[in-house]
Amino acid sequence: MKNKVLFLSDFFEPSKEDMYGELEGSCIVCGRSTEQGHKIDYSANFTKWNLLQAGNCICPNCYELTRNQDYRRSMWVATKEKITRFKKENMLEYILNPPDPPFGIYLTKTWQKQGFFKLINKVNYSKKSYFTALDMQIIRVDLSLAKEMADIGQKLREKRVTKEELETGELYAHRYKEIDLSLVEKVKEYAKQKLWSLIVYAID
Amino acid sequence: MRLTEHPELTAEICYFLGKVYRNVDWGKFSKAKATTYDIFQHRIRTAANKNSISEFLSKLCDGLNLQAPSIPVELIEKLEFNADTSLNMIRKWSQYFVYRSSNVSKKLKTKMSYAEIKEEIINSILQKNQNKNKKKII
Repeated sequence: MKNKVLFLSDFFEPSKEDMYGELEGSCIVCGRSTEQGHKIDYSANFTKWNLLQAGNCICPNCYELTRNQDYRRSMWVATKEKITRFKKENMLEYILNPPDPPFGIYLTKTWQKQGFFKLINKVNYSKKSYFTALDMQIIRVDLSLAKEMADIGQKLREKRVTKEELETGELYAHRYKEIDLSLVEKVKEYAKQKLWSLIVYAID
Repeated sequence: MRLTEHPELTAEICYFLGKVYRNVDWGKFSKAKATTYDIFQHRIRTAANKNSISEFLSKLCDGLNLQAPSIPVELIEKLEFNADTSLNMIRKWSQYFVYRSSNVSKKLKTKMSYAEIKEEIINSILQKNQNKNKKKII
């Protein structure tokens, strides 16, 4: 199929044979029809029913993505070739250097939420501007802006400005002694943007 | 709102607030809970919700137990003319103005004139920009 629309779960090939089910119908995660679907067996503790669609089964790829707990408890970059999991120390590196498209990036602060449900139909086809999810929040990353933000954030962190100050844009009065006013003006501009809070979280 | 777009107005606000800061009897405020910076910033922010500079000054003086700070009437009139912009700047840049007004207060101790203080503040805003431009050229 030439023009097949990619879903995030397409990057997740079932790792075991028992990941293939026997049900026929449409998947509640991605919405596509399947002949090897699984029974919907989410536990009573599952709270993301509002992010699911109409259907009667879970397709093998979505089953791998949603049932494998490793993807919930880590940050990852998924491409057709491989899925790379990474730690928080390398987060900024992956945000600023995304892989060749198509790809999907999932980031987390809580290490337990299933935010990738929101990314399921957001496979990225561009490095310059792409979508990522920080837990349940979808964020559009404009790469050039993200690089500029990271540069400013790192400069200010070197001067021991706290992350809270950066995120709110409200720097303590004594900071103005040593910090360039134009730099603070930019921080104040960025302070309301989701991308800025993501970058501030990512920098050391 | 950028301060570098309004250097003159910024300098005037700094001088205005510096005069107020200088007149406050900081000994009366308990320093166990907050620093002078915190107290002044809080009073500024609260007062900046008023509609005009005279109302702002009145509210600020109430909050700081001041009777009548000696501020040139011309300066108040000038700021009153740009009241919306000035109050907006004070609301958004309260920390900066706190830092600057404490600086101005120190300079007033050395008996520097209004013109000298204003020029110094404008230079401090613009000089940094010039330095930045120089770096870019290099």
